Amino acid sequence: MTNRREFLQIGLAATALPAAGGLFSSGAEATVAPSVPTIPLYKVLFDDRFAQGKAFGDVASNLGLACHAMQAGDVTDFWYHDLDLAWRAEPKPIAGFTRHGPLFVLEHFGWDRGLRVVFRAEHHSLGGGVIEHRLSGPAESLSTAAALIPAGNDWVRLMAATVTQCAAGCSQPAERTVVTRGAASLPDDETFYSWVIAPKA
Amino acid sequence: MSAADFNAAITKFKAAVGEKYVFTSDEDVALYRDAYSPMWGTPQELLASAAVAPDTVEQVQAIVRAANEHKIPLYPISTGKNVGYGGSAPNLHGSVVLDLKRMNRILEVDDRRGFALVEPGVAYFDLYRHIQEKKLKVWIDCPDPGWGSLIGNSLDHGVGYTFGAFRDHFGSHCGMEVVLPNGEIMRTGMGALPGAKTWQDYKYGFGPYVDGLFGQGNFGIVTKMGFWLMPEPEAYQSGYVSVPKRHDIIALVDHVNYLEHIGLIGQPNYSSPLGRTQRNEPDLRALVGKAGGPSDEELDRFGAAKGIPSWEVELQFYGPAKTVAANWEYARERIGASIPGSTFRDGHSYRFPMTDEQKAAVEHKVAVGIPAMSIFSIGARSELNPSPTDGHLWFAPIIPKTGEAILESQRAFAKVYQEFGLNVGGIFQTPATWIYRAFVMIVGMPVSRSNKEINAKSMAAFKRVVEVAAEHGWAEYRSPPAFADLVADSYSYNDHALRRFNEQLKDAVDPNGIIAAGRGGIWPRHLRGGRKA
Repeated sequence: MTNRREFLQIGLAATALPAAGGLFSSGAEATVAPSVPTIPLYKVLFDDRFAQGKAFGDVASNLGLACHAMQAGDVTDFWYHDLDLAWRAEPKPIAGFTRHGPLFVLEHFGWDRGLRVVFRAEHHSLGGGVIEHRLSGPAESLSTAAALIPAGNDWVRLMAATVTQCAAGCSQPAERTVVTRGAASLPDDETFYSWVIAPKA
Repeated sequence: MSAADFNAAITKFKAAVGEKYVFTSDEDVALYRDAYSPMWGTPQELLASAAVAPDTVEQVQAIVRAANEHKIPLYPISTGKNVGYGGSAPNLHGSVVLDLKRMNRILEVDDRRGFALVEPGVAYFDLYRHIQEKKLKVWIDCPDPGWGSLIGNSLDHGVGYTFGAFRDHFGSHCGMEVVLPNGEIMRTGMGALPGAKTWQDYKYGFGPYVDGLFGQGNFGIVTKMGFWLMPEPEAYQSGYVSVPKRHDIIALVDHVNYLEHIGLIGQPNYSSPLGRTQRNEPDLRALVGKAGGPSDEELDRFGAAKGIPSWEVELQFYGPAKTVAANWEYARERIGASIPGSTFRDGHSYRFPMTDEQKAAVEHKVAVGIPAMSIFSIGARSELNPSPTDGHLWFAPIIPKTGEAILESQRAFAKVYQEFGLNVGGIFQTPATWIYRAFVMIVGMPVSRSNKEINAKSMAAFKRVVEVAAEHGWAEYRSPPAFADLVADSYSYNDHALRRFNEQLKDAVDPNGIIAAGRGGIWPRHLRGGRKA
């Protein structure tokens, strides 16, 4: 298992990462390590019906984070058996890679417990492997945006790294949009989200 | 409302509930926007000016008194989760949302007499968890999704998925506590009797039954409400009945009505196998799309040639295992003897109580009283759902519970949807069957935050289809705030006698018009735009 520090050292700005070559095997230097404390995540949620969701979960798991794979994209089990109980005790940050529905639900549940979406990246497939990424969140974490462009199909691993070390205490959220090009990997005109929900600052 | 009055009221709200629970920042107030509003980001969007979240009924009273003193419009919500029908957003722009989510106590659950008494912030998930943890032998009947409040859902005339008596969430309530617009507390039914032992057992008490005024109304703030709960059955069995011809729906509905009204089945679920095949049958799509639409005979010929039935219904049986099996056998015999070519197949079979693993495997959880959020896992972009992330407007007209009404309403509504280029409804649409004695031909009209044309089209179609419904003697049972007046206008018998009566009541009990102005199409005198009560 790669720990968070090693992961950063391996390099988040890796380019053209081979799918079978392990995690960021090209060894470029880290460029997005936030210089501020990061949000300690209680759990990472992902949609394992999609290769991108599995890749996202793999990265989080390799970082030693507790992960939950949704059943058929449904948050019910996670909410009822896990998160609701955890949040009753203490509102804790979570992150994920999902379609809009689960994020919508968890964001609304979070509002009732004093949490907010503090990082949100919308990944919209324009077809032919072209994906538009619209990011909003702490400026420190958005330094990932530039690194996304050459990441090709490994954008999802980069996003996983970004949300799992999202800068804490964001006072001035920023926005950025980039486009990546790789092999066609998402259904055309489909949108996924990488996100972090954390207690309101 | 003057700025001075608003500020003075906010100060009093803070004194009542504590500064932490009065929300005035743009960021906090934005949480009360209607996520599915077709007017999102436009000057017409209905927005709150602030929000206040009390924890006790005494705090609610203090807020109401301050609102009266300063004539501040309040918009009470329970948990505000009825997306598609307005969410937390008020009917009157600038209202202060009275957010009751902190009042989330489950006050009593009795599994011998079969009731629960809860506060507005109690969600279906909360009551379900309480029942499971206490191992009580009762079920909840919940909507889909199950994240909302029992009180909020029932006051909006929300519905569920088990037996008819429980699916009507307002109909299955028993007893309310209400903070009236003057700040007094009232209890209804047997609750009006000090020390009552039957508040959640007998609805009517003595004299006029006033609970209905608080459903889709604005005559008070409900702070407690009782609900009848279904005993946990021994078994569940579902079975599917298919019939070949379009007009077979008439006899099929009559049989299913009999089975339901005599108490043998829970919610029946209709669908059209022929309609489902459109995606893979270009010839059927061409037939459906031809000018003037296909005749019933043409559709029957197509179905017969392909061996695809026109209609199917899922019957759901609850009760002792022996009677469940016997009732399914009876249904097969009854329908089989009446409708030539009808076919039958067994569906799911469950025994209760279930283990967590068994519950996880249940496909349609709400049918067995388990709340779920799976409906939000549907959401891929499609022709039917061009902006899945941006929501929809529910158009929910009530039609008679007959096959004839299904066939008539399909064609009447399809014409409008086609006219506006909306790919909803159509000649294979089957009704939602939540309501015990009527059908709902519900459709979700698309909403988009990025494409205003979609919103304009949906809103225009909504307006037109309300008119078409009224021309046929049908009308909506529930509506997003943007269309509340339009829908209320269609209930116009004898020069709007019902609305005039409601407005007279409103003027009498809420002269300052502080509670949920506009809800149910009922406005206080000063906001009627010159219309007389």
